[in-house]
Amino acid sequence: MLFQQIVINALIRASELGLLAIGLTVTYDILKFANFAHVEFACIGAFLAYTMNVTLGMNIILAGLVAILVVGVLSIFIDRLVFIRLRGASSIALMVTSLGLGIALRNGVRAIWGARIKGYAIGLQNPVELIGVRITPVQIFIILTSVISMVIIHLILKRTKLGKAMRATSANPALAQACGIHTERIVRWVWFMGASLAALGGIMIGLDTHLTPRMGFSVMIPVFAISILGGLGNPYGAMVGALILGLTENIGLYTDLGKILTLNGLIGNLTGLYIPTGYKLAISFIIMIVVLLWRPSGIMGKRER
Amino acid sequence: MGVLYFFVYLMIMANVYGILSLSLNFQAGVGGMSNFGHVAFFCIGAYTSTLLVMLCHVHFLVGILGAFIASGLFAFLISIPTRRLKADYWAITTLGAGEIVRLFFLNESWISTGHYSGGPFGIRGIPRPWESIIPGNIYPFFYLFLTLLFLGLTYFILQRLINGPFGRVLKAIREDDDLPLSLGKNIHEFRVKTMVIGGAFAGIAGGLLVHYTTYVDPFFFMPMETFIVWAMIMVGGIGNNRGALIGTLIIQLLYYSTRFLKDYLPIEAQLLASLRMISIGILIVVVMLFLQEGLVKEKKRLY
Amino acid sequence: MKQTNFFGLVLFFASLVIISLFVASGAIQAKEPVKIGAIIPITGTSEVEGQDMSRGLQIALDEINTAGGVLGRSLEVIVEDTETRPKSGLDAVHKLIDINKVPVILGGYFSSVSLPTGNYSNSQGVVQLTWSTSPALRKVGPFFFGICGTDELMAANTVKFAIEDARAKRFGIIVDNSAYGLGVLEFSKREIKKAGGEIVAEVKYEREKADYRPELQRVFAQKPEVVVGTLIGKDARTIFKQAYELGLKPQSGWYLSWISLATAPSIPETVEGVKGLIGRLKGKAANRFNEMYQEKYGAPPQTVWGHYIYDAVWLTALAINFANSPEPKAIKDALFKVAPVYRGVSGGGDKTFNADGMQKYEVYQRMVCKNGKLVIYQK
Repeated sequence: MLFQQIVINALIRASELGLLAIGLTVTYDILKFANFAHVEFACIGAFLAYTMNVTLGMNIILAGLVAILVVGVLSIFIDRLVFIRLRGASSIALMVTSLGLGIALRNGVRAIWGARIKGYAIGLQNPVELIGVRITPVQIFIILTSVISMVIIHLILKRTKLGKAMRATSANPALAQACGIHTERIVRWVWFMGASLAALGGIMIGLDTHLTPRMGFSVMIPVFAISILGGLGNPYGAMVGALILGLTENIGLYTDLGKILTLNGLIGNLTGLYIPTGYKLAISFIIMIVVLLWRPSGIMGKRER
Repeated sequence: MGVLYFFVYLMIMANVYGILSLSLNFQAGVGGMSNFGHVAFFCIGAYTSTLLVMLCHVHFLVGILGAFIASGLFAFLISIPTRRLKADYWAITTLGAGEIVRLFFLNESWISTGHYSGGPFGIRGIPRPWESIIPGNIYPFFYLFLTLLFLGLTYFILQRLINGPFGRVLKAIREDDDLPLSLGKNIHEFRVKTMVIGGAFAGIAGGLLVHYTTYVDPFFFMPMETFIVWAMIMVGGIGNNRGALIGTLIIQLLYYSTRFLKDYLPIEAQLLASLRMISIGILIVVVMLFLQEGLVKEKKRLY
Repeated sequence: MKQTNFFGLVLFFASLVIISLFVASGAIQAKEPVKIGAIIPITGTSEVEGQDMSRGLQIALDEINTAGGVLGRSLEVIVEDTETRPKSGLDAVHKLIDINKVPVILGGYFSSVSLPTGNYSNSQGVVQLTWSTSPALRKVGPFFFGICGTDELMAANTVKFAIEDARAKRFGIIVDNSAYGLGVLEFSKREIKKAGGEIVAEVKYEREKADYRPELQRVFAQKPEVVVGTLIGKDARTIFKQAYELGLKPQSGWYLSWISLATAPSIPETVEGVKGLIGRLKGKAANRFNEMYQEKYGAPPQTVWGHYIYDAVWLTALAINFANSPEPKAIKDALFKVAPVYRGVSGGGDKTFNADGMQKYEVYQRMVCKNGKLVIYQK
């Protein structure tokens, strides 16, 4: 197997999870709690797009865009309904609330759409071969979409008034309010951004594999690991974290540790020493813990005090 | 008669989860450490007691003691390198540690008691304590008494700790790092101690669970279990033991009572199961919204 | 004194009322229908499989009750959700046995659920029929029945199939990281070593993940001639799809134990030519089930678990009628009698139990997947 292929596989994985993780980290930056219901927005978005794409026969891109907007609005609605009442509460209280919300949303999806495996009306993709790498058109689309969204996020954060206001609110909400920034409006924007990014990520996962009501929940732990790895609150960190996770999972399982330990046969003869595949999930956690020992606030996290 | 047995079973499980939520409450509520990998201690306790009793043929009580020590030791191991992390980082790190423990017992199938055991096969035939002496129809009542005993012991010890000088320093650390620091208290050391004590008691819960089910495998310890224990202590009121116990009872009742309510609703089973989980989720949210400090508020004292 | 919140007390007492309600419910059980219980993973990790189970159950129940029910009464199934969580499975079984007092429980798809629940139902003398797959199931007890040939020996025969058919020497193995998967892994390895073959990769995959590319790269890194093992459910679908996209295909093909578990949920193009074994064929009943399912739900079943619960319900109904009693002991004995004459829709259709109450086959059928359908393999 070619090394390029492994990098591409890692890139696909990173694109999907990166979108989710950026959304999570952006909301964390303002709301200061790890939202366990975040991944459910991905699931809801993917299923809304499914309904429009398959049931109503809309174009998948259009369906996706509408779904993303709807999920963004839904998240604001949820904020008005639930989280607005908990503004001053401890982050643990918020986490547990989002936990309950996540259970309700996940099973809501299940109640509405059922548990059957679903897929978008894009047919089975046939891969094309580029520089010895096999990749399907949809996967190229996934990588491009996520790169474009990341650029857009970057522009919003750095070049717009909204971005500036967000940074101010994140650093010191009271001061921001005093400077005339309408912090509640910022919070709404942040919910919208975070949830629609999650929905986009969910649709990407749906395009790449298939849809089930647990598609969000099943990526929750890697998404959290990515945001922590990169540094909570930092979208660029999330991008880096996603890449690291994708690469370690793919390269970690592929690398023959025996060859590395013996410097490719220089000392002794030891081959076929691989990390057991059962530990795939653990690889990302161990990387995460190692990184945190080195930098307690993640790779690009904000320094404390 | 059946109803009575069901009630006894329900209470046994409530006691086991009660110990779990007391121990998590000690770490999270009193020590302010958002541990999202509590299931790891539960898991290690369960496996330690199982292996000690089945392989070393020690008595059940020694097994439980082993569970207590082993999970305390594990808590020590993970809290040493991570003790400097901030709350949210710590939360996800412990979540990861919990998954690693589960994966360890899933993949290391040599940790077993014979053929077709260990790893995903699970371990069967875990002996129930004093089963040969006590007749089968009284046994559940006996086990209820046993778990209640351990629950009481946990409650008593943790309550003593919380109300003593140790607990006062912990609460001070939870509220603000600087004050105890200025009094010359080593915060990190206190955090490690809290983790170890809480972890050790969670190990007891693990032992008690598997000696009743007589079977254990790694799927008993999915992250969801931790989340449920969190819901218990938050609903009851974080920071005080009575709240943790009431919360345990309420979440348990929520899970059980919805099973019975559904028998009277003429809805298809598929939809019903979703609705049941939705209502559990919504009820957690509602409780959090209207009772931000839980059912029983922590008693704040001035010194 | 502790300050107790008013809302809290209301909530607490509401829960108490609910519990007393259900305690009372034990007393008001209708006399008419014969009630049995089922524990199904309707929510949680295995909910995709659970949906087919609920539907298979409904199909069988409709058929039985249209045909006159059991003992001249209608058959009713109380369905409980296991949430794919061992503790909830235990809750469900305690409720079914202690409160609903059912003589038979169907289910426990996951061995983590079926083993502890089986221990309890067996200790209470209640019959349990499970279609989970673990070698450990045999030891549970006389009231415990397995209807999904929990048979790792099939793995040895799968390897033999690959050797005879493809003269394979280099093997890759991929299994589900479950009790069944591990049994398959162990027996495959033993058989490959016996035949002097070489194992170039050995992969256990974790359930419910969106990305199996790293695992696939690992299996195919050393270019195995054949890949043996077992893939299950929605994960099989993901794995085959990703293998197809990556162009990863063993030179001489896939050879899988219980091939229907892997091919039923998969996209037809991705499993074209996959070979494997199922239990002894007994007629063409499986197609009949698929037609009924299609007719009732407008789409074909996605997994094979609907077939299994269908057989479980029918076997129970037949056993109750044969025993002429809804008592667990009589049903248990009758199950051994009715199973050999019943022609099922799951596995190969043969549902005969051995002395342990498990299904075990000496004869396997070699199958190949053609255009999304399993057909008998002929070289």
